[in-house]
Amino acid sequence: MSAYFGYFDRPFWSGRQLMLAILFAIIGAIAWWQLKTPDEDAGAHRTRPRLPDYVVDRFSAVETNDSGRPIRHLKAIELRHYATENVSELDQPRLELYQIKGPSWHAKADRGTIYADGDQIRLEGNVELNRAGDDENRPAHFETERLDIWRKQGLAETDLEVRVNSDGDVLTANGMRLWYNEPTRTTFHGRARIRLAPESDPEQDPSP
Amino acid sequence: LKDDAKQPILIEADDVEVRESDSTSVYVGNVQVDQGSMQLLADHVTVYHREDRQPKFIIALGKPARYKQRLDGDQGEVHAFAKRIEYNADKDELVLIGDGVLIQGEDRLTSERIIYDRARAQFRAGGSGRVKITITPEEQ
Repeated sequence: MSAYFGYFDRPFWSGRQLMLAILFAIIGAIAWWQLKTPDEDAGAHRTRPRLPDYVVDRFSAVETNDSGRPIRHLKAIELRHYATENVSELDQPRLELYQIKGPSWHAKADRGTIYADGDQIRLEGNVELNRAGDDENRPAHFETERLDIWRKQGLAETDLEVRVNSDGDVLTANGMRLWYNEPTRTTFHGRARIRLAPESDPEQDPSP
Repeated sequence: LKDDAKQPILIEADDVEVRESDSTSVYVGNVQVDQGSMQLLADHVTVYHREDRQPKFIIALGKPARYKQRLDGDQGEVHAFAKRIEYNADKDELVLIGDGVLIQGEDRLTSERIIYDRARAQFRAGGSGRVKITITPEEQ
């Protein structure tokens, strides 16, 4: 024990050394606290609500091609942009897809999401896609639950059930790809069923 | 049956393509076309549409493609088989091409090419290869 006691008798630490020791102890404590608290921060981060960096009320935007011709017009009750994900969410989106000649396509849905700066727009919930008829083409009315609009390809596609009504002719399928720029081309997949109404059809579905 | 043309046309297929550029629709995979008593079964069907979207010309391909329809009165049914069946709506004429077989009631006709007039339930056969007709006399 005395050795041990002797151990403390000699002026073991000078004043300066003592100050350094205390300083290191404080730094160590701070470092330990820093190391520990991030867990709590991360916890806080995880539960932090997903907040948009900006919100646009009654959003409306017209997009033009390289020569300045309008190609589509997107409207929504509200747009919410999320910078970290680079997506924008839409409420009640309405999308008009202009044609060089002939009537536009009009799409609407409950919700929408804009990806990749607009190269893809996903419409979800009670999705409808309509085109009026003209002297060359019959009116067309599409219904599905989800539709992806791809700008570059001029393509509207879904892999969900789709129903098409056109002048009383009806088609149902389990997937569709519609190249909507004139002249349109459409492929349907997964057991497609078509009913072509006879010229005078008592069952003709009323136009949409 | 005469009334068949007034019935809706029901088409089913695994895959469908509709082209507005040339008013055609193409049906691929287990294709079944029904209109009243008429039925067409094939692997691949191309339909050329009129402006009112009614079929103007149909080409059915199969191994073989199969066609059947009930005839008016008590004439029974007509059955047709061929690798390629063409239907011309304006002429109301069916053309069987490649291993064509036409069976009407008890009578049977085989030929490489058979033209069947649906309105008059009459047929003409020819083309390369032999025509073989089997007419079953009615029992006395």
